[in-house]
Amino acid sequence: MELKGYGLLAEALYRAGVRFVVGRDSDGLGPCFSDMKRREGVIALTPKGDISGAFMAYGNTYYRHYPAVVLASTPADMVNSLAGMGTAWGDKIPIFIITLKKERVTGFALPGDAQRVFLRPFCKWSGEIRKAVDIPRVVGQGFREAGRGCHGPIHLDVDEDALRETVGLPAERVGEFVDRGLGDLEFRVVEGDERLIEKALKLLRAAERPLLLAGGGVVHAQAWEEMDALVRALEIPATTSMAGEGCVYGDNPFFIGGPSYVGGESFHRAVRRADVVMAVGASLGGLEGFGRPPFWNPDIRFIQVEVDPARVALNVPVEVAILGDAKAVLAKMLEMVKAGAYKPNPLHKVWLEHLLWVRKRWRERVEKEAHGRWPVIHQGFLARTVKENCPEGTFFVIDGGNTALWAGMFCMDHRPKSALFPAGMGTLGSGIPLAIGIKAADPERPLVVMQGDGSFLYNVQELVTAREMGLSFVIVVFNDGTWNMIKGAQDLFFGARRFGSMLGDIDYASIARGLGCYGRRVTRAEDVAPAFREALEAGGPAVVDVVVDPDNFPENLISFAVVEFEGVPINPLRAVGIPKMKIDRRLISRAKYALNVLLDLDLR
Amino acid sequence: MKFLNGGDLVALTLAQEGVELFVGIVGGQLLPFFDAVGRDPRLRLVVPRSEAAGAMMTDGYSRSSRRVSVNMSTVGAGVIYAAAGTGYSWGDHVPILSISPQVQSWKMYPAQESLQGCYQGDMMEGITRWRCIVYNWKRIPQLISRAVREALSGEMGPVHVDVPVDVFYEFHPVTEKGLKRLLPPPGTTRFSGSYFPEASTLREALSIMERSERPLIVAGACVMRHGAWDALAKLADRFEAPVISTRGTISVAVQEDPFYAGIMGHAALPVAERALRQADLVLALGTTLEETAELVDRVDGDRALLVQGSPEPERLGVFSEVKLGLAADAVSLCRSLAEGIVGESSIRRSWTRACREEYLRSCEVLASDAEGDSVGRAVVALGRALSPKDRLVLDGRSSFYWGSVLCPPRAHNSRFFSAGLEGCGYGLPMALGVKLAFPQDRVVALCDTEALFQHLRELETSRRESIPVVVAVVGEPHDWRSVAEGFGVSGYSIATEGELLDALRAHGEGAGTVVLDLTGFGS
Ligand SMILES: Cc1ncc(C[n+]2csc(CCOP(=O)(O)OP(=O)(O)O)c2C)c(N)n1
Ligand SMILES: [Mg+2]
Repeated sequence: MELKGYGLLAEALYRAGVRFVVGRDSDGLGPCFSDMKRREGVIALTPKGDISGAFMAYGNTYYRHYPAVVLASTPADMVNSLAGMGTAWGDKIPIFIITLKKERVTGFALPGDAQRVFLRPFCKWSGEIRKAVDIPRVVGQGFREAGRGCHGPIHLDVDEDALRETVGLPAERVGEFVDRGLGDLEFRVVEGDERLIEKALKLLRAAERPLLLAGGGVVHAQAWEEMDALVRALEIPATTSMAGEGCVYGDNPFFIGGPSYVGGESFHRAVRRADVVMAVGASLGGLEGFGRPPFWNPDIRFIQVEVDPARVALNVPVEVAILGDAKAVLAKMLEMVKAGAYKPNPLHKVWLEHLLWVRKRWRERVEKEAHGRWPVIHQGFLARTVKENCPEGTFFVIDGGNTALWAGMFCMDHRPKSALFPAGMGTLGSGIPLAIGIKAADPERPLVVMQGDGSFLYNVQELVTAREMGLSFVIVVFNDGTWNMIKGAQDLFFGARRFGSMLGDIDYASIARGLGCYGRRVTRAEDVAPAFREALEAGGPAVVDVVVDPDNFPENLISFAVVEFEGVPINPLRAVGIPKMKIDRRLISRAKYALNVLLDLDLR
Repeated sequence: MKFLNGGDLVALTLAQEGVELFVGIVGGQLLPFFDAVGRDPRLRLVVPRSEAAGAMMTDGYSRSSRRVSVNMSTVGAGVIYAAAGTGYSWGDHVPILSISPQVQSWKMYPAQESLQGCYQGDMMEGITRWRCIVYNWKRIPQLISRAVREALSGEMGPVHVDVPVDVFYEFHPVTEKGLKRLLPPPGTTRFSGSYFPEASTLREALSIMERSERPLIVAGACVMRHGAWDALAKLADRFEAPVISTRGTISVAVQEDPFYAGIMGHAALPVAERALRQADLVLALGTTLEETAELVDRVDGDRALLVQGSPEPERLGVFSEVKLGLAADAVSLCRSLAEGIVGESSIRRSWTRACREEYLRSCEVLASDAEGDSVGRAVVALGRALSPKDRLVLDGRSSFYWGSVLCPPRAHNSRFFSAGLEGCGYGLPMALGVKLAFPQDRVVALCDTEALFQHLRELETSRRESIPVVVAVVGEPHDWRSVAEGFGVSGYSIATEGELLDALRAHGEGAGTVVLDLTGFGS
């Protein structure tokens, strides 16, 4: 059979290392999809809902640290990919999307390059292939772009004629031709400047209250080992940004909690009182309070380790900027520390102990509250119970509003590659398709989705996909019958008028069973553990639908609200109304949290 | 005196514009808008389970009622889902209004990594007619009215408005009088009259038409959007020309119309293609011809003349060279042409009859093919069970292939198919939207299995929001009855025509949404 553009594209993707493709074997890119499907070790998947495809690619790319591919043949495929593409962009995940360019308009309404217009905001690079012989070269370029600097999605727009074209190459030369075209796919690492590293170390040592912050850049550079080791070597308190979760290990004696505000009062205390902060692969965006008041000390002197010069000082003034790949810079720093360039400052110990004390105090309070004796199940209790009953090494996928915060408080191992929440966009409904992408990469690893009820239905049809693929994981639905995170804001700012935020009593276990999966509803605290263990054994995607308290909310929600509504005028008259909130002890706890983090107090 | 925030002002303006349906999922930055919509008894708020489906619901409502409806989706996460539905509306020129908050106005451009902050307006650029960002509280009425105007103008289509969170929440004291000054009086914000073709061009068109022996009228999306079916029927009758529809405009005519000759782009109806090739004049009405590009290929420029009518002068001749372009709204265009045409033509009459007969023959062929096909048999039964007033949404390849012919329209504006983006899955949410527009009518979604999976979750919406529709599934076998029951709606596995009628009766007697699994029909 003679080689066509389709085959060449599949060959190039395969040789570049692609092992996960979503698409269809019909329509324009169908032949390429079918070709990939036939190849050893490749998972070529057709989701039940077209919107899920890019999310699955995201999950797989995140886990494998290698781009997965979305094949979008029709204009509908392209618009359906946007939710996943935007989510990947928000978290700097380098997925590949390949669209089909048709030279003439043939029967559909998108003009020739519309896909370039609407994908542009979410792709860091867009390439075009017009001739079959160019396929390997442009694919190679795309891969280099995906992994260079700050990562992000890549778009290839392929002319249909190029795919139909016959490539006059003898079979035995194809491999060589493709490899030459792809070129070197090893991503070049930018090393840090030693003098700047020295300067940074000096600044840290001289600080009274220094803080280390690991960001998403550490995850993308797979530099968690180096990060964790550096923290231990410098003996400086450390935390992570939302995206950097897992890069300072939970058992690290200098870890003061996190990620970001999910770490509660100790995180706030740290950023409120720190005088020098070294941010590694973190640009201090909205999820970290922009590195500025009201949460951060305005006089912090920042050191930033960043791979992309354009992201240096994005949100805060930076005194020492070290340009380089997180892995290389951290390794070098560690080497220099070991060679004697840095001696831990004994004064930092007091600062560390203070932060650990704040952490302990806060953890005790939230843990004490998360017990099983509330009239309706407490979300904290549910999250804790799941964590206590899951197998060692369980991966947590998190999807929801408040649910995500509860899971963040009670389920984190603080280990690399152990939990995922698409924090940049906070896209509801990502959970099931992300779980499928991850399970496809590592089928043996136990996985649990911590799932908000509102979010659960977005991509619920993929339960069928997961079942058909034979993937087993458990979905724990936090069924509070409401879009709770938003309902909370209505209670506070809109007189508890809950327009559009109440979903009511919906039986999600029944929906799961209808889709041929395990589904069990739980309403009593004592049934949580047995039901969860049963679900672990059930095989396939298994849903535990737990009725939880709609009048409960996690206290660190307050931190998010303060940043997201910073500078926004709130009309107090609008807020007047009869609160429907249940008044109990928990409200006092929330009030203490608010005072502690806003006024820097130590209320117990 | 009242304190009005940005959300109030958006809702008040839209209420004044006559908008009634608001579909969306909450988000913190959207709350002033939700609160205003919720408190206004004139406005209906519907909560879907995905913003993508929300946009498709507004599509169904606006497509069928020809009124604007609003899709609300939160910053970033919400808008990227909504884009899927908005794209479908773009493909079919459906006037929906997408409104979203943005992060604080001082953090939008350039983006600085705000939670959910992204260039959402830019993303919408490829799939909306018009976009804007409302930076100034005072400009809300003006820009919202304009958005409605843009959606409803010309060819129509979706528009998108971003309102930064600070503008949504900003509040000011407003007196009754002040409010009057702020809000434009009803009926003063857009042209609602008729847009007639220019006289000399019209004369030229008429003279071309009068010379034609084998004319063919193609009815494009704007004929539907402008509600020009009666005017079109009159034109076809006077001019004695056959009419073919596009895939998106099936119910521009009814099956009994003696001039109706089929659907372009339907594999089993070669008549439409043949007529295109044999015609000496193609009158493409209410279309930019992008949806009919197939047509452009088949019209032999030396032999046939292409006369195009579009409400937007600048869109004439864009996708193909035309002999003559007429700028007018579809109703006025059809009327002017119908009134201007003089003289009968027996040649045209017999050509029309030939086209019509051929069309009916292909329908018969397809009906007899259907006997040997499991989907076909199910669709035939469904077609028999439907009453003329029922509204039917077709979703998926085989649904369209069989349903468009075997459940032919017996009333105008009663068939809905989203042709523009070659996608599927909108069937259920679109049916919910159609039902919201026509609560008295029975609305049926005929979906392929593959298509129904896409937005299956909206069964929950139909139940929670009490929007009862009939969902009929064909194609790949799946246990749809269990799926339906899982969602708490009635599911039926249907093997016979009797069972089909029983299930439809149950729906009529208040059983709410029913899912009819026809994948095992006749077996
Ligand atoms: C796609 C999308 N739509 C809307 C939002 C706004 N939003 C943020 S949290 C939330 C509530 C989520 O509800 P649920 O999943 O039930 O979690 P809960 O807060 O109740 O725990 C909503 C609607 C969003 N982040 N993403
Ligand atoms: Mg909830």
